[in-house]
Amino acid sequence: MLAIYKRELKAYFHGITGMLFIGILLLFAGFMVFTNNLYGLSSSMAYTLYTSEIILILIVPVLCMRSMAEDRHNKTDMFLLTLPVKTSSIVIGKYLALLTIYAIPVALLALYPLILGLYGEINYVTTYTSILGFLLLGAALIALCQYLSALTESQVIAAVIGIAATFALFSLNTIASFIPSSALASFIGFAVLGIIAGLITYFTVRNLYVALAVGLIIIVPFALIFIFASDMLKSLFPTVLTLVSPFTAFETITTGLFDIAAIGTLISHTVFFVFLTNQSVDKRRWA
Amino acid sequence: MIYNNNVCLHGGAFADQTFETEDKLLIEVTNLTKRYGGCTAVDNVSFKIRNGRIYGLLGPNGAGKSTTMNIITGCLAPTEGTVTVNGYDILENPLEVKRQIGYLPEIPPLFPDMTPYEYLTFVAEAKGVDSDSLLRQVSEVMVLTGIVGVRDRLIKNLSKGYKQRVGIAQTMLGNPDIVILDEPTVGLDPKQIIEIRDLIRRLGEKKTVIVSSHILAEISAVCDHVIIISNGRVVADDDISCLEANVTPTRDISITVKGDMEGVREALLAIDGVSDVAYDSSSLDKTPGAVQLTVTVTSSEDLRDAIFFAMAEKKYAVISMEQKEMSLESIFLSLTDDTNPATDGKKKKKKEVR
Repeated sequence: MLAIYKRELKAYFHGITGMLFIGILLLFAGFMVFTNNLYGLSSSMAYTLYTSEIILILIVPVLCMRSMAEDRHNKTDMFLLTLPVKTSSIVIGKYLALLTIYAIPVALLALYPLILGLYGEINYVTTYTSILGFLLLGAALIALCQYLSALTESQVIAAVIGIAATFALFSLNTIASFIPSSALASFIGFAVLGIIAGLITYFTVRNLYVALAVGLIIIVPFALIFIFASDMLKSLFPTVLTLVSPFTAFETITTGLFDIAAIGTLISHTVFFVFLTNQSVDKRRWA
Repeated sequence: MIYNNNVCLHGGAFADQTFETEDKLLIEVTNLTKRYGGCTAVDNVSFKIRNGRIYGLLGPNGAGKSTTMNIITGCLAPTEGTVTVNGYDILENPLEVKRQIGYLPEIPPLFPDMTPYEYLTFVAEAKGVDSDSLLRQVSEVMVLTGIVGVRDRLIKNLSKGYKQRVGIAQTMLGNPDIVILDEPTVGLDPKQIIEIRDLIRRLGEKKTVIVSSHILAEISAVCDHVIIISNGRVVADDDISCLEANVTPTRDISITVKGDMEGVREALLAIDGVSDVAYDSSSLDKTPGAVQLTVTVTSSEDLRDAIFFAMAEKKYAVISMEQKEMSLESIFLSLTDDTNPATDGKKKKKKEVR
């Protein structure tokens, strides 16, 4: 795994991708720090990070687009499978390289509160909690975009779908507020979610029956609840929707609460998508 | 071209590899089948690879050679059947199997943004070569394949020949017992081809090598044992010499004789064991007054003496006489021609997001 990790990391810095990502993130976050903290005289870097999260929609998919897609394109993915390393080592090695590139600007951002502290009262606990949340938010988004990169040979498609998916997650709060809080709306929402889950399963395992099973497992219980105890469904869907997005979990953290649930959500998002990536790579052997 | 003939595989970084002199079963492929949807790429293929020989894997395009090799090396999983390498099953102990095989696929698996030195260091590390022998092994394979001069040039800037050599170099890292090369000399110029064939022969002294190729001349030049695959099935699995003997025991004779066609023909047909005499239109001999003929022989005796004396008796001067070798090409064509395809031969490609 170490060999793969080192190779990936070097590759991002041989080309422009690594430096570009770090540069743009620092530029944007730095501008936000200027606007909110230096010019706006706010002592809350948490709020600054909250406003900075939007840049991740653009730069994370572009960073991750080559992670798996390039190997498929160069035909080196099969070669990696002939090396005596486990599939999981390959996927995790690549993931950690991406995370390292993200961690560098976040580490630099972690120095800012110390500088700000020279000029005012800084609540270090909430600030560093938010920075941790920002790191985990990035970790989850990187895992998602790496998975999307594993689905295709084309880096451009991986980037475009990544941007679309990340934007959708970002807007989930707004979308959730449009959905009426009636039970029927919730049921329809869960049904749609079941269909989407079924589709994702189908594309991952290519087995119609498994996909149908997954879809039905989600839809049928909610159908039953809707028929027999529809009160439970009231405004459940909008709430659940907000749990699905790593952005909402991060936003909870920036309000100042050290929310274990939010941190747990972000970590589980990360693990989930890294797991899916691993399955996707493994599945290509059995094609 | 920097190519050091004096680096001996017996010393240096490869010194600690002991060479088994007795026959050992290295790879055992049993009832291997691979299906892609409705299409059978590999159909019940079984063969054994023993140590100390250079094997050739022959077959027309789309026969299933690359698929078979991909399954042996672990990139693909079989639909049915087993592959055992040195006692380890590819599905149960994949890491152990992969450690013992060096594989060069048809398209050399190179990272364009690395230099050969970086690439070979990466592969050595990934194969688990410990750090003290790493540097030595990398330098030795670079010398063996003659890429020392381009070691710091980006792979994307290398010519095809050098890329091929880098690919061959990575197969030797980690001292694997088995080296599998898929079309190793494709894209190389004639001099490089000779050098790589030499390298394969020397590799074959210490390791077991499997070469897959379309170039029959190469297989006959380099390999001892040949496995011919056609339409996903094994049609021949034999030493080259046995193969030639088994497929045709008789050898035709091509002859250039000065004399009239009819008279010569009659005289030849009179010889015991000659079944047919035909005009050889492919001969390039332009000796005036001479006819070029192909004599079809049915007996396994060497009839060249009889022909010589028969011609001399009738005062027909024999300009040249040659016994046709049953080339690997003709064996190959005859074996791969009459097998029925298992399917319509088209591999269904997975629908990819483009």
